[in-house]
Amino acid sequence: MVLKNKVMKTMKGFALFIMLFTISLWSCHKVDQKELISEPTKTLKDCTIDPSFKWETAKSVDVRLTCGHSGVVYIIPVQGNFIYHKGFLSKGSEYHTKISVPAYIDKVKLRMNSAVHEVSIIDNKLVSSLP
Amino acid sequence: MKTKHSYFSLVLMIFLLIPVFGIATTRYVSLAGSNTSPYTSLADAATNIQTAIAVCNDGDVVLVNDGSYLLSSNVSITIGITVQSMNGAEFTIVDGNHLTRCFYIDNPNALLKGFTIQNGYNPFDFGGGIDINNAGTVENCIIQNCQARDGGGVALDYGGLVQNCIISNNIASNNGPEGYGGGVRLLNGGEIRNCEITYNSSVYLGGGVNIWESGKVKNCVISKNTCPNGAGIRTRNNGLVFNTISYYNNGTNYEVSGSGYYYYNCCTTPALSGSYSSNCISSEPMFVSIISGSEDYRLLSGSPCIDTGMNIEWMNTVPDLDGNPRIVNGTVDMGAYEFLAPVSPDSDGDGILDVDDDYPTDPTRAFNNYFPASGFGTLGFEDLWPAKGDYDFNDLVCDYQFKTVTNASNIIVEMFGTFTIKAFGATFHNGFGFQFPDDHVLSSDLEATGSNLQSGTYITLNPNGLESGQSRPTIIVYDDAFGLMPHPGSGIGVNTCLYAPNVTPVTLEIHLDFTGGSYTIEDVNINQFNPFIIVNKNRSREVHLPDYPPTSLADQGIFGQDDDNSNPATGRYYRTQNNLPWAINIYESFEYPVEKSEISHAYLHFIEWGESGGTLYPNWYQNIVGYRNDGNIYHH
Repeated sequence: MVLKNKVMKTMKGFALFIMLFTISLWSCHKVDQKELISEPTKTLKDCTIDPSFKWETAKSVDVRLTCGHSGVVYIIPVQGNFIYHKGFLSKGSEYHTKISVPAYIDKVKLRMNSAVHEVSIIDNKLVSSLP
Repeated sequence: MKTKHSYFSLVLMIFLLIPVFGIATTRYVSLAGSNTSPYTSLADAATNIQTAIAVCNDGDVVLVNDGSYLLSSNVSITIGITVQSMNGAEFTIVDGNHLTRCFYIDNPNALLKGFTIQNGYNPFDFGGGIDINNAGTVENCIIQNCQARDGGGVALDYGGLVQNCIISNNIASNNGPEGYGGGVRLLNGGEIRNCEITYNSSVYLGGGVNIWESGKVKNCVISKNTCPNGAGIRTRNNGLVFNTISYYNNGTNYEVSGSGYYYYNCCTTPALSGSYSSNCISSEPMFVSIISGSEDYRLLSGSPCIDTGMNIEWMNTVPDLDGNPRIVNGTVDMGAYEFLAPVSPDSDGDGILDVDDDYPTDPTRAFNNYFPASGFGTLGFEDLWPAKGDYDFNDLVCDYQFKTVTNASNIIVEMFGTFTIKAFGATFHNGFGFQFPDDHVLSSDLEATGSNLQSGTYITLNPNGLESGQSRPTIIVYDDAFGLMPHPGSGIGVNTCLYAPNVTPVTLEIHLDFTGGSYTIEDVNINQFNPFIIVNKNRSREVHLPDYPPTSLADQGIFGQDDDNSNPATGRYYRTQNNLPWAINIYESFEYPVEKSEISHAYLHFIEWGESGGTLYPNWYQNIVGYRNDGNIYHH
């Protein structure tokens, strides 16, 4: 009987420990979540925006390309499986077009007849002479 | 009887002489063989190459099955036999294990064919991968990651032929200051043809190739090799180079020494002296790709190396490195690969090969171009202008994408605008449209179809489907969102309150036919299109993106009222005193805030983006951990 009581006491203690441990873990988790999604204290009314800022998530890029031979040029992302632009370049004449890319993109690739060249966008301009 | 006897003697003599005059026997090598001499079946195959060679006679063929054969000493071929892989270099590897040279060859009738030969090590002697002494032929092999003092990949001494091989990443070094020919070294003879020799290095002379005396290099590509003295090729006495491209090496593309060397029909830079070259060029060879890791040394259409080599007799029987005919169009190309015109047809004859043509059977159309290119973008509007709203940008949420179809001359044929109304947290009955961004395109050159207008609409269209009274082409997509997506009975507007039933978004497609003029994508510049909402069926009240002008039908008298701080004289439109907008255009499909939740409470870096002038968090709208509070974003 004494032994049974001892066992019961030990089991109760263990259950209490598990319960407190679980609660403590859960509490920690809640704090983490809160930190993760802490909202900005500022609202739009309070912010200072430069009048020249256009609120644009993309930029329009002037494209100027020349090539020593004719063919179809693809303007493609450095990473990603889509095409910014596709058109026919004539040997000896400058090809003009415009593309739109996300504002944070500063490089694209040019593909022509399977040759691929990486080109930088500088001051919203993409200029390249393909071989 | 005498005749019978003579006949029997003849047959016996022929039978006895077979081994002497060589009826070829095929022997096999396989890692799974039983190693049973004379190895004449795959089941009885020897388990290493040298064992099979040991029982061969001149003229025999040793066929080596797929697998990786690790060596402890080099394989020696000094009789006139062929040692050949069964399925090519890709599947059959002979590995020197960084302990030994892989092959030694010394017989004019010896042929080694179709192996990857790697990790050969012979730092104080000739040939890390292969040493050909006097004579022998190696073809269709890949020789890589080997080291020797002379000829890290291959050494040829007093003769030998190496053709149609890829020789890369080998080193000429004695683990000290000496090294001659990282890829190949030729001494007193020998010839290499149709080889791609790249990324080799030598500590002293000739990163790709070093000719010490009298060697010949024909139709090779030598690129991206490294050496302090002749990174590409170093030619000394009587070294002759034909139809070879040595370009993009890390150091000088060529170096000459001694006398009697000569370059015929080669491509390298700087230009070779006319005193030891003829018909050579220095312009770029126009390889398909020289980007590190994805090099392709085939020639592009228009390459100056096409049809500018010197024809040599062996080219009639030996193919190029791809296995294609070595001479096409009558004159061989420089380099290891003969240029073949694209085989893609041009079914509609518009000058665009089918492989590049989005409309291969329609000569009036060639290309599709999309804006945004990666998928749908999203427009978000506030509709209380000129008063400030709640900045949840959900009074209209509309996904959009334009497809522009051009012909082979890059002239626009037609354009499709696809618009999906996802939500409108509004009680106003708003319409939506867009205007071309400038005056390049005449409205009379267009025909628009697909506008969704309710009966008794307040919109007036011209017969060509564009809105009348406009100075620039203007298309009304719809005149009342409630007519397309009815209010579900609860919530503000449609699809902005989580407690209200979701209404299936509606997609509309506008088709614009370019019936006149010749406009390019640059002329139309749809990337800068000017979208707007028409507030509560009041045609004179429009809301646009910041600094986008109103259309001709907007009431400009509203500018400056309430919170609006526009100044049409300076091109400032639809901004508050502190430069906040009433609309936003996002390059990707955007998950918008729930009703009454300011966008900065859904997208946590929106304000930093705005205050930094767009330099911080330019991708604030993406679903990245820590970028947004999902509880303030509409989901259903």
